[in-house]
Amino acid sequence: MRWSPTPALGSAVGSIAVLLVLAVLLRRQDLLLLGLPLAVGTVLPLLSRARRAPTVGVRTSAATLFEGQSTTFSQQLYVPDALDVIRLRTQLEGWIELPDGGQDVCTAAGPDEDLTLTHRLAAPHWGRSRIGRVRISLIAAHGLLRSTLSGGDTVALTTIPLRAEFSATDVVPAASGLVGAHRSRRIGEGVDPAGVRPFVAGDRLRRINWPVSLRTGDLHVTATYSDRDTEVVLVLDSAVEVGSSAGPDSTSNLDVAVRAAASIAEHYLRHGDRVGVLDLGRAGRPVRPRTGQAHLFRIMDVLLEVRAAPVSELAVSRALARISGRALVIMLSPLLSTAVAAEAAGLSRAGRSVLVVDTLPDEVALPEPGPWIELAWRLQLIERSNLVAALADHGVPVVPWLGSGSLDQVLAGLARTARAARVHR
Amino acid sequence: MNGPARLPRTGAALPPTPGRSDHRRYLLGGAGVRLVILLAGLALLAIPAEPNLVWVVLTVAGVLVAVGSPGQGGAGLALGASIGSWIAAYGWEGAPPLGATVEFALALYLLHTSTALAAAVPLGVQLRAPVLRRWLRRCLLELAVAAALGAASYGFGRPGSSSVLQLLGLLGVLVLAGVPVLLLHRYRD
Repeated sequence: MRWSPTPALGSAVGSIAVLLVLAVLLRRQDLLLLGLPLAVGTVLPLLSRARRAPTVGVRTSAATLFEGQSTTFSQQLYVPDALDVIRLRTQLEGWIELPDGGQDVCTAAGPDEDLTLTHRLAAPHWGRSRIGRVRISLIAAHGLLRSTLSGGDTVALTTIPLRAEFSATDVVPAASGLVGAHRSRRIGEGVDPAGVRPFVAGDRLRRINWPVSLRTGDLHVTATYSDRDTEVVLVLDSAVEVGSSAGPDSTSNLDVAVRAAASIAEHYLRHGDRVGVLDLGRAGRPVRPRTGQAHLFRIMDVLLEVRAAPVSELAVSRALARISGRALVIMLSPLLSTAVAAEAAGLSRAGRSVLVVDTLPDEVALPEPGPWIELAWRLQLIERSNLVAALADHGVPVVPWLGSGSLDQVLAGLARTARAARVHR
Repeated sequence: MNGPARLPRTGAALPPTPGRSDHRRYLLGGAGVRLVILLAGLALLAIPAEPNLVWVVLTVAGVLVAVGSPGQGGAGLALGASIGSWIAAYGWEGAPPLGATVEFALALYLLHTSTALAAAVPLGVQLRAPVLRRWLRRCLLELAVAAALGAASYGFGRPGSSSVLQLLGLLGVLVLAGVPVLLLHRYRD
């Protein structure tokens, strides 16, 4: 281990030398006495300085967190030789923080000592984060020698954009497939009663409705709606980022979109539905509708990579055209682009059930405040309200994201619309 | 049919470790070390019987630099100015009282060691209790050794021959100044 002297060593040696020279020249025993503690405090620590470097390991209790959660972050030190001060500086990258301190810690250790420093690590914002290598500053010989080194491995942390559990009504516009948790419009094996009808050959005995059968004298069975799953496609408009994503207290449209998409995906996957994701900024790489836990992880992985990116209209049109005709399309957009709104209207015209979730934050801080910027923003908002009205005319409802239950009413309306369309045909 | 999707195992809301009050206490530790520098500096100004204005100004400047920026050599200035102030106060051939000498030696040592510690632990870092405990223990050990050596030197009394005293003194200077330098040099190799 390589030590370098501190300014304290220079001042101590200088003071001792001056005091002893003067003590000799002036024959003053008091000057010798003044220098003695300094001399002892210099020679003794230098003789007993550390010779071996400490080692440090870093670990966290969990590698994946929800937004707003915390975990323990611990630094394990092994100190072979005694050190007066061990300063550990931890580099945090991304949206993680040590709310109770711990990024810059000073401690001391005796010889052959194991130390564990534990801190609370909080993840206030979704995204990928990293704990970098620890920079260690060592002080030995009672502050006369110093050294620096780095240790520990980097630790990756993932913060999932889920905060509160989202739930929606069990109504989907177009249940499809053979299995699932949603009530379909078809009569079949299920739980929800659809009515009572006369018994026909092939009906299960356990479906016989005995009170009606006894009253009428003929066998009757209870008919049920079959349970089906649905396909949900989440379309993220990441063409522009409005608002500030500087921390947990400020949100941009992308923050709202990612959190909403994660909640909706988790909800529908929990109910056995198939969920796909299409990020318009990366329209060429959609996540195809699948179901299951592994798919939830895949969706979260994609959502963690969402960034504002230019949107290619051709690629978007192609990707949207591939969406199944019976899918429920939930578009998450701040509705600041006519092209995106036109695509939503086009999907609706093509017979798909489309719902737009408005992701524009309530408060938007303009990057360069000024009279012209504010005027331009007001014009943009007027154009946006025109877009919302035009979408409503095309049968595309626009709802703000308000968390759990915010889509219930609109989903029920879409289901009614889908049923009505089937009757007219 | 696939089973319902489950969320991954994640962390949980934890009680603060350590608590915010502990964090404040850690920060107070750093401020406390700087307070010791200030008190030692005041003692260096107060102990000499007739302090000289120039040396006082230099000592104050050194102490202030040591408190504000301990790694910048303020302690060296304060130590040098204090020694000058001590000699100026009692003259070239003065005989200061033993009590004042011991107090002044203690203040010099405290200023030196607390500045060294303050340079190692900047304000704002979490200064944990073991640092202060270990530092205090070492200070007490060094002071005990110095006290024993000081008592021994007073017990021997002054050497009769001035040339012998000079020779011993110079030898002492060489040894005390040379040992750290040699140790450092050897360690770097």
